[in-house]
Amino acid sequence: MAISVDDPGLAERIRSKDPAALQVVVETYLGQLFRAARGAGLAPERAEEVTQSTFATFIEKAEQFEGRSHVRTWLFGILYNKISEERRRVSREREMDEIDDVVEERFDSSGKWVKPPRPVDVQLYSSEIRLFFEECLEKVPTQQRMAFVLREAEDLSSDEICKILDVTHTNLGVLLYRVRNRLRECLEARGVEKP
Amino acid sequence: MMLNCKEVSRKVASDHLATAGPWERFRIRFHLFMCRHCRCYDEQLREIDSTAQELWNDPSQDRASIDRLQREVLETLKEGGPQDQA
Repeated sequence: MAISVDDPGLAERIRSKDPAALQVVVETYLGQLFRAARGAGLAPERAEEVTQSTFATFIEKAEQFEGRSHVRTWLFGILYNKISEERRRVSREREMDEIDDVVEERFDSSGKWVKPPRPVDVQLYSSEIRLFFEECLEKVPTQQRMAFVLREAEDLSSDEICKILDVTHTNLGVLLYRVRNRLRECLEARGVEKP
Repeated sequence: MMLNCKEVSRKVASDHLATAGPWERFRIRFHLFMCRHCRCYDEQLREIDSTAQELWNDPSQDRASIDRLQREVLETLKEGGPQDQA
């Protein structure tokens, strides 16, 4: 009988390193993990290495999988830790972020826009933002980027994203708010707008 | 009672609408209806989200790399587990 990643008995089979169960997990999630690693900003070769190493850790630690969270949540958690380990040395997520100040300056003390977003022709906008999207994402910190990738590319629930990134719902809201504002500000600065 | 632009923009950008109750949703939607700047901001964020979905959620993208990688990982499985820890 074919195994599915949603089988209730899957956790048990993963713990006993049942090759058929491990194979189903690899076949189901490898593509998603690789694309998430690419979305998180890794070059193709690095994304391959990190995906491979995620599965190596997964198989190595299979006995510890308790099945309290979905196997996908566990895998994305391993992936995220690997990506942030190597990035942590470069930049640490800060309590305060410069994007907060940038957004703050757009409003007066009563919360009204003083520097409103520049109006755009949405159709033109959507074709032009593709050109600058990757460039604008380059400067986004890993955790924010990962939150955005898991939300938009993988369409995961807030609960699952919070587990993967080990953050609260409020933190996740802040991460998404910051990454979206960073992108919006960056696109506006690049002149992606109605002339 | 009335939300200001700063509050609305914050709620819109942090996915707050997804979990907001009906009254809160109404307050946000009503503000967006009345305020062209916030509407413009909201539209831009939606475009940004849908661009991300288009760029990253394409199963055909990197298909060759994924297939090859999958073969390699499955091969390692058959050999009895990972040999080389990255």
